[in-house]
Amino acid sequence: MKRRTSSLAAACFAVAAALCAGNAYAVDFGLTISNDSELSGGGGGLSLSQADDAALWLSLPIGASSSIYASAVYEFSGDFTYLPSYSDSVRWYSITAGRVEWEGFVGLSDSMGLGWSVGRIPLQDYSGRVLNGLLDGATVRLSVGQAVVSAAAAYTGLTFKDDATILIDADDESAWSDDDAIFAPRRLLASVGLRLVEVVPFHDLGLDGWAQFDLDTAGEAVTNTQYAEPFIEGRVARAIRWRLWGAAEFGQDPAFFYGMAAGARVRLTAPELAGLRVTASCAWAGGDYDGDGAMRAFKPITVGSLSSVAGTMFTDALGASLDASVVPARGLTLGAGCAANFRPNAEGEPAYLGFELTGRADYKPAGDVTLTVEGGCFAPNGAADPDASVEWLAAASATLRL
Amino acid sequence: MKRVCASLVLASLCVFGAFSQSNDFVDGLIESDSVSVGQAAYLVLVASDNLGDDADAERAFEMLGNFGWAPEGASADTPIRLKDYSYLLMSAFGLRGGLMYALFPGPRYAYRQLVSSFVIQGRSDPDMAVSGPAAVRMLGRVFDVKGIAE
Repeated sequence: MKRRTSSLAAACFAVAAALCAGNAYAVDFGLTISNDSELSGGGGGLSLSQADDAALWLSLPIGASSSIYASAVYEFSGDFTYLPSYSDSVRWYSITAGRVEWEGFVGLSDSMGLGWSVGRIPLQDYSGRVLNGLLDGATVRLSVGQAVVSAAAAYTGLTFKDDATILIDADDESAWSDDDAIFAPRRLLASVGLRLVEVVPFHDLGLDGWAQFDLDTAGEAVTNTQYAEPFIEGRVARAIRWRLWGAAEFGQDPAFFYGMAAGARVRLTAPELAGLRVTASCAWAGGDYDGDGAMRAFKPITVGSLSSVAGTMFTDALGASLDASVVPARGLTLGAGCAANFRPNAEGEPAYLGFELTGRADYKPAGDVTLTVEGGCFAPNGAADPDASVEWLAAASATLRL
Repeated sequence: MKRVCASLVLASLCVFGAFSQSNDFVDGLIESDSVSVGQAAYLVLVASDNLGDDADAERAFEMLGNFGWAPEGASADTPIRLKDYSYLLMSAFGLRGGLMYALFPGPRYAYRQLVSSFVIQGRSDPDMAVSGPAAVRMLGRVFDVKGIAE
């Protein structure tokens, strides 16, 4: 399996290198080295998560309207548990393709343009709550006047399961806990989208549609899901921007089921006040509120978290947060935030799950160096989970671009 | 299109307002699809007060050699590459670069620095030619960056 990924990375670089041979004068390349360390604890536990990676990249223009970007990533990662008993899980190396992309844009007329992106590319829905990840596929965007129509298709089976984080059905969960399974479940993704730019003054309206098709027919379950995500975003004053979105999930396994999700965000930006930025947001992923009915807990294509310390997954949960950041000195950003998590339910159980406080400092002393320190704690509601205890996290990361 | 033209005129006024250059030179530069090393040297060295505006492109290129900023193997008529123009801007205006530029000052990391500070915008590669309007726009943004840094 690992050989399969290494071969893929080598093939990507071979293609890029072959293309470079004809355009050697224009190629740009570099190496990005980063370190991420995360110490976390809670309930008498203490663990360290460590990841170090080096991404070798090259960028190559193809004509006047497109370019190729290719990267290969080496990563060391390890999880070390010190308490309650020492154990570790170390992956000394993994080598895989990072972002490998042929992207471009051509103007078809004064009011029409076509953009595309093919390869291992970043894909996400409008909110980033249904799908968010680097996957193998293609996307096209056609802009006609104030309308932007987009379509995308992708395959998940060549991405590491830790990177793709797909947990839709029981097969995915057993693959997730199987140490021999390295790659993500094999699923085909497709999307169409429409964005109407400023049809209402200062506001965009749109609709994203995503679908995933389970290609693993030999498993316990074959689960296909579709998502319809309308959204609106815009500004109501110079300093205030807002967005609102909703998502309806429809699924077949083969029985029909559905789920719901929604979210909103308001952001105040005041550059004149030391770059002050205040963001209030909330996100809700519906649960199985009707017992044996067709409604189920909302399941996104890729798993996401509602908050950074608690790790409450974006399924059957509601989160509200308030974050603020300032730039007190050149290159330095300081931020703090708080969040509360809930699990609304029809059984009369306590809905409030807990409260989280976080802090963060980003320092960019130069264009090619970034240092980040962050930390936070989560105080759970003892009535909702008597076994839960305060959790904390401290993390540091550094990135150098050579 | 109107917005692009207006921006260009504004950038030109900004840049050329800071010093005076011959009308012929400015006209030639704005119409050029590919600025030569000599033209770039004249534009940047005059704008940064390293050269009087009564000099010409040949003299500017000579000065570039004296400063040690001339692209390797280039003559005054050679089209300048984006990374070499970036290095010329960084050197002439004494801009502070990143860690790698501090360790290895040269065109490669000068280009990276100007991309990261948004002096270079849009689709670019370090070896591409620099058009006259692009050279003027970059020079205008360097004045902005310089202002912020100071």
